[in-house]
Amino acid sequence: MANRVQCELCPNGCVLDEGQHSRCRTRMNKDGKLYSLVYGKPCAVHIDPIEKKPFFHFLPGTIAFSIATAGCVLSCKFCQNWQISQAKPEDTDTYDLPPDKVVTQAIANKCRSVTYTYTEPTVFYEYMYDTAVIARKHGIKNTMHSCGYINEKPLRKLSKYMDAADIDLKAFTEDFYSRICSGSLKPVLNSLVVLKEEGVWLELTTLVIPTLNDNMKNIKDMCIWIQKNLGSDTPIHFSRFFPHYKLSNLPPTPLETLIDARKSAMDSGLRFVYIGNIRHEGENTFCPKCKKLLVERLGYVVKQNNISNGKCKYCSTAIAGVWS
Amino acid sequence: MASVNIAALPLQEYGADSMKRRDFLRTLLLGVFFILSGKKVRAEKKPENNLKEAMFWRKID
Repeated sequence: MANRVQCELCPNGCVLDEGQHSRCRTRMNKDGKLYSLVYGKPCAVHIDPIEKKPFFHFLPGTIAFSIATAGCVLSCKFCQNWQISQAKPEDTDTYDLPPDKVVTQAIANKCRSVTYTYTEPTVFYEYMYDTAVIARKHGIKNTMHSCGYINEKPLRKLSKYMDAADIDLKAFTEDFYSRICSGSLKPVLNSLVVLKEEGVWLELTTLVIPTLNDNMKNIKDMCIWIQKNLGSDTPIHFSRFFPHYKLSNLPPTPLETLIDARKSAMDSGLRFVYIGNIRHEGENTFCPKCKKLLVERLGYVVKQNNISNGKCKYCSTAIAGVWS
Repeated sequence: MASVNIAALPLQEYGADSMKRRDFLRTLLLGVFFILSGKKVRAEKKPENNLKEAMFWRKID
């Protein structure tokens, strides 16, 4: 068939005949050229606390102008935003918000950053990239919450303008990625290493799902890999799962499982391990040296911040992150 | 402050009869004004009209 193209943005590598759409639903072969269908057309636009992403070591207490378009490169059975991530662009109501307007709106609303989030920002790569370039020029930071399922070349190009990334490390087995997400683990691990190499501030999130990825040995192996490849200062968030989408048959994650995962991660040498989607002291940041409370949080609210110039107020230990 | 005996006030009945011709015309005119001046906003249903050439792809033929 003539006019066939291959998308080289993510590991799915969709090969498309004329008129066909990519698996992520946001790219289309038209007349032998590949086009994005979602450029400047977000279906979700919100102003959120940066803690919601979650970023705990990146400008705490600030707000982020957050955008998403329809589509995703994966098909996770537990997706929290499946109504838009698994939708076609034409099936969502969209805003007309080109990149320059995103930045204008972010500035007008006193946001310190623009966050590409909710669905999978890789699917609106061109929109995200152009917005990030303009935002950088205006002193607005760029952050993304992504599954990390993206090829190395586009990721390195994007990294030049990305200040921080929260990557979902959904599990540490190929089996989970294959059966539950219709993807694979290896490209995600590669993305984490690339982001680290490019100097992008990195935080990780793992949604702990009963019976599917709550095996403590796997969690331990994952944390050891993180410690070796990304460093002890990489924050990780263990989030509580609630029955949702195609996994509504499973129970919510017990608090004990999250506490065990946190302990396992800290025993593996990770210094900043958090528990999310539940009220617990694991939401707070403690100084790894003097153990005193540095950032106290209640949900998305920062109640106190004892980090001054990137250092612990009590013992002057440098705390990894972007604090101002 | 002087108190008002509510019970002693005459009851006002509201219905079609209570609307005077002037009220009716005013309501009608306002309605027509809002209908004509309102701008209908429709969700975009044809994303192909907003195409942007993608980055990172290749022809394979």
